[in-house]
Amino acid sequence: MEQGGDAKAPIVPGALDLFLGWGKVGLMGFGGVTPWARRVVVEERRWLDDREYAGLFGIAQILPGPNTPNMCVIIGQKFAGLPGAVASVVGLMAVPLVALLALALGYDALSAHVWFNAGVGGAAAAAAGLVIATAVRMGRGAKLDVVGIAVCAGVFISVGLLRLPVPWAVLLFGPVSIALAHARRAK
Amino acid sequence: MKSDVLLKLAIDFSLLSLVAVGGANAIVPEMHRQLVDVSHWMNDAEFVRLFAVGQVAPGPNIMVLSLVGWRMAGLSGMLVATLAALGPTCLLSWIMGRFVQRHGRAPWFDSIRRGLAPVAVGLILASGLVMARAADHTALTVTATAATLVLAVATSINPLAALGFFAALAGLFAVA
Repeated sequence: MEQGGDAKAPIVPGALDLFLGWGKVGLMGFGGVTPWARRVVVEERRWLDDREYAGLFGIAQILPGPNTPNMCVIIGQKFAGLPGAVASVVGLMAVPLVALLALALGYDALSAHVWFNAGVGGAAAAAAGLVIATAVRMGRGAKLDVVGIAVCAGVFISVGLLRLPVPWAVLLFGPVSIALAHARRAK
Repeated sequence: MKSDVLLKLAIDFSLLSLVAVGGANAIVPEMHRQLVDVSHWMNDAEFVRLFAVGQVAPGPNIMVLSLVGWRMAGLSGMLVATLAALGPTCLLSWIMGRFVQRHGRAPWFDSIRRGLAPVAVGLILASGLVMARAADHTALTVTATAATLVLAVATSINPLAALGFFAALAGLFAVA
């Protein structure tokens, strides 16, 4: 294990710490929780250092499903077993679900107003830009080579332009891409 | 009737989250295809609105499925949708977590990680395109997409600021 030169020793959280920490991630995560998860887990609570976090993030991305809840389960399990995993997921989801419920209850009344629909439309357009930016940042972080960019373009064209169902795209491109990655590694 | 809807939500959303390599944003095209094109549960505009509300609200973006559950079948729909979206994948994560503690350093494991990365990036790009095509009808919304993209790639400013700014601007334009 690498140690930083300073006193920032990792802290081992219990189930309650995990619940509170992930609760904060859920609460702050307007527009998505991914940036907040790293901020809380690495910078604030110091449960993991950046290297460990990046490693687990890669694993969470292999897994299907939402990345952050997946991270929650893996980190919770690592530190506090089943109680830790459950506490983490419940912490992440509880407050946002209540907020979402309040929003949903007001949705019908609000959606009768022109300004509300226009405002949400504006946010949606901005969110589309944010999603594209996430892909750009992720692609840069993953340091895709020519083959990787080709796979990426193939997935993008078949799903985004030709509207191939996502499961088919994953089944079609996933195994090929893994095999190619393995072959390049073996060289 | 309602139990039919709940069962369909449970099955569809479990499958949807199980194919979401790359996270919630990666399944926007599939959600759009199923909800708008196949099931005809909502139209294009409503899909975009629900998705935006789900994104703007706190919590993981997968909770847009909770919101769709609410829209289809009220509170029970919301709970069923949330459990369906999280249950199977959390179980997989649990199994994977144990597995990683043993095999995390193996070369073939690294190949899987490297191989799936470009697939995830491509899926998220496609999601961005589908969202932008559904949301961008005016000069203002096109600007919102482009400006947020540049801001989020090039700066470390909290993107929430861009979402709030363009929501306020679009709302003001509508009543002005």
